[in-house]
Amino acid sequence: MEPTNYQLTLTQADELALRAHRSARWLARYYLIFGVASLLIAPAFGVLHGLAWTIVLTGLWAVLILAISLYAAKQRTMVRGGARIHGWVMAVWTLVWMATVVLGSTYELAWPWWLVGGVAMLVTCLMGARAVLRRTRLEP
Amino acid sequence: MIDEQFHSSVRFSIMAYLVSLDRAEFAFVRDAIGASDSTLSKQAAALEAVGYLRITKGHVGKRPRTWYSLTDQGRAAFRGHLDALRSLAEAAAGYTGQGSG
Repeated sequence: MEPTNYQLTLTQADELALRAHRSARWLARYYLIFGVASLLIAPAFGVLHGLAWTIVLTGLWAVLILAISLYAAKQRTMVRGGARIHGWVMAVWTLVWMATVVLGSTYELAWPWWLVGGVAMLVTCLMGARAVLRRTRLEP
Repeated sequence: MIDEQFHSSVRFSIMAYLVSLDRAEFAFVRDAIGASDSTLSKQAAALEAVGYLRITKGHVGKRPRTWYSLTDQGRAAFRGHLDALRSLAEAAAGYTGQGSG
């Protein structure tokens, strides 16, 4: 390789890495959608009572999960460490969800409890999105 | 250390694209680096043969998919190659600066 081409080759590597990073940011969008949906659905469970509302909300939630799962299945790249990030986000989110639902239902807690749960789920997802964005930032 | 495996521009591009990803699908890599199907397959097989690339075949629904991911050995080799290129680029820039100064 000619010495004058070294810089050109490094620039090419940076451009390809940047393209790869952009393609892998879908996971951050996934967490954003999932987090915002959690923030909306959790307080709804606290405010809307009765069997009919439980069926409606559970149905809405199932449709959302199906939609974002299809979105994830269609993606062609995965950020480095993405499986580990996803494992952590889903584990923490599940714990928060279970604590919100079990405690809220058992003690018949009012809507602010469910809102706090929704915020905690959103924060969990935002932390996942932040981890993805940090890993898809081009190093200087 | 300069690695002669990356002297091929297609092999270099495959590595540069995959180095910060866990995995990427064949068609996505092909489009990103602007190679033909056959060229990408051939160069990917060469990288797999030296232990730098892992090729995984599977299905999404009924559609067959081929996934590429770098091995730890491949990632380390490529990072070493980039470091060596940076050193050479800096040395070349210094030499040019001395020559013109």
